[in-house]
Order: sequence, then structure tokens, then C-alpha cells
Amino acid sequence: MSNRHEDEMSLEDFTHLILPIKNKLFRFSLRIVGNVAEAEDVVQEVFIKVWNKRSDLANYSNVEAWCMTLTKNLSIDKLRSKHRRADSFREGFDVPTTKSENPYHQTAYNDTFDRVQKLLNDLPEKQRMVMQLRDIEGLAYQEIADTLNISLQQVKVNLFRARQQIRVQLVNSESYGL
Amino acid sequence: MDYNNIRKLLDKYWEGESTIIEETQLRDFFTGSDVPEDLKAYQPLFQFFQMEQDKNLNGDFDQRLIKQLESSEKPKATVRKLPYYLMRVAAAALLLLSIYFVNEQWDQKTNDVVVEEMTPEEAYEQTKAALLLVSAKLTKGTDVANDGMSKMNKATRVIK
Repeated sequence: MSNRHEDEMSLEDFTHLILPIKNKLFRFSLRIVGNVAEAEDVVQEVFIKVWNKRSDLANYSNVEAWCMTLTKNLSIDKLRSKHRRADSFREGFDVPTTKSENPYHQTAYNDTFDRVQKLLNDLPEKQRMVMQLRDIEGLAYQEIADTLNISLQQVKVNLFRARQQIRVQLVNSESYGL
Repeated sequence: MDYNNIRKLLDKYWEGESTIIEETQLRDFFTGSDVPEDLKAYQPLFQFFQMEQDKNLNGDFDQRLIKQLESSEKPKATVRKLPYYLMRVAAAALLLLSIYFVNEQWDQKTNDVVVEEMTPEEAYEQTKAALLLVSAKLTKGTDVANDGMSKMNKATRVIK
């Protein structure tokens, strides 16, 4: 391996500093493309892009947000190029989970997953992405704004609307005994 | 258990005013077994978030990625000095062309020869003359080719 610049990132640095966010990127992409294999491709493409630009990595104040933005863009490209929506709920659930011993996973798993997945997929794209980044990835509002390239106010509005919508749907489906 | 605290957190959550820590508390509460009837409707949502957080890439992803990054690391193949290489090809082509032209001209000349009855001596003389002509033409052809080559070399030197 030849380091052209002394401050350039080595493969080892890359593995320690950037690779650990892979699952975050994967879940985000999966939320958009709705397919495990495609989400995996997206993450791989993102990392290759980042690796090829490692010499100007110092110019990015928030590498993680940058990776997330790349993930978002590539995922949306992938989705649009296929002219289909990410509404195949079940796809992606053959991914091995680490906590499968949890009894919850065996019993209520299907029902819960299907219902909420559908509610989330029915949200407008922006609301869906904001909710994913906040409620699943635990990002701060500012990080979400950076990732999606929208204002802080837009993050709050989208999150508020998404949660309100989900709340109404949950209460409705409960009262109908669904 | 104090459900009122949870209800307060939940209200903040719906309004989009909860902190990340409070949201974690909500998730912990709803994925537990101690959820009262009136809050059960919201349980699937937080269970879903929990499940989603456990979704990960396959174990061999790292290996495959690193292999790919390493292969992109190899130095790019140096660009061959094609011009010089092409010069040599062009010179060879020129040589072949000149030989072809010599042959062509000679063929025309021989076609003009009128076939007639000859004595062996006459035939010998004619053959000798013909061979001398060929020899001369071939020498001329080589000169032309050499001339071409030297011009080529000159050009190559200039380009270099």
C-alpha cells in the first residue's frame, strides 16, 4: 500500500473509523430500497466512494452525515431506476438478528413487524426518512438536517407529522381490533 | 410502576419534543412486559424500532469490502509509449509496401514480354538480363525502404 500523503487515511484507519457505521447505513438504505441485497450494494458503493476520496476526507466536518447523505442519494437513485416503491414489507427480514433469543421475536414478531412496517412505508418519503433517522438510528435533529440537506425546522415538522400519522393509525387499528 | 411518567414522555414524543434519552426510556418500557392495557396500542411501534435496530449486514460484508478496497489500491498500469511502438509498426508496413510495389512493377514488365522461339543461348541471356533487372529493382526498393526508415527515425527522434 502506497501512501501518497502522510495524512491520508490507511485501510486500517478506514476499518476502525468508518466501517463501524455500516449497519446504520444499511438500515437507512433498506428503509428506502426495501431489499436487503440492494441495500448491501448501496453500502458497498458508499464505502468505495468514501475510500476513493479519502485524501480529502479532512474537508468533511461530519463524515458520518456525509456517508448517510451518499447512502440516501444512492438508494433513491437505485429505487427510481427500478421504478418501484419500497413496499415489499417482508423482504429484508432474512437478515440474521443478534438477539433472536428474545421470546418476543418468535411470538409477536410477524404481526408487529407487518403492521408497523406498512404504516411507516405509507408515510411520505421525507417523513419516513426523518423518522428512520430519529427513532431507529437515534440521530440528533441537526444531524438529520445535515444528512437530508433540509432545515432544522423541516426536520421537526416532518417528524411531528410522521409521529402524528402513526399515532392515529395505531389507535385506529387497535379500536377496530386489527 | 409509575405510568404517569411514561404517559408524559409519550405525550412529549408525539409532539416531537422528547430527547433521545427519553425516547430510549420509552423503547425500554414498551419492549418490557409491564405495559398497561391503555398503552398497549403503542407497543408495536417501539417494538418495531427495537427490531429494526437489530438489523445488520451479513458477517462476510467486511471481508468482501476490504478485498475490493485493496484491489482498488493497486497502482494503475503505466501508460505504454504507443507512439514509438506505432512508429516501428509503420516502418515495417512501409517496407512491406515498397516490396509490394517493386513486385507489382516487375510483374507488369514481365507481362509485356513477347513469347517467342529462342535458342538456349538467347534464353540464357534473357534470363540473365531479367535477373539483373530484378536485382537492380530490388536494390532500389531496399534503398527506398531504407530512406523511408531513416526519415521515420528522424521523425521518431523529433517526437521523442
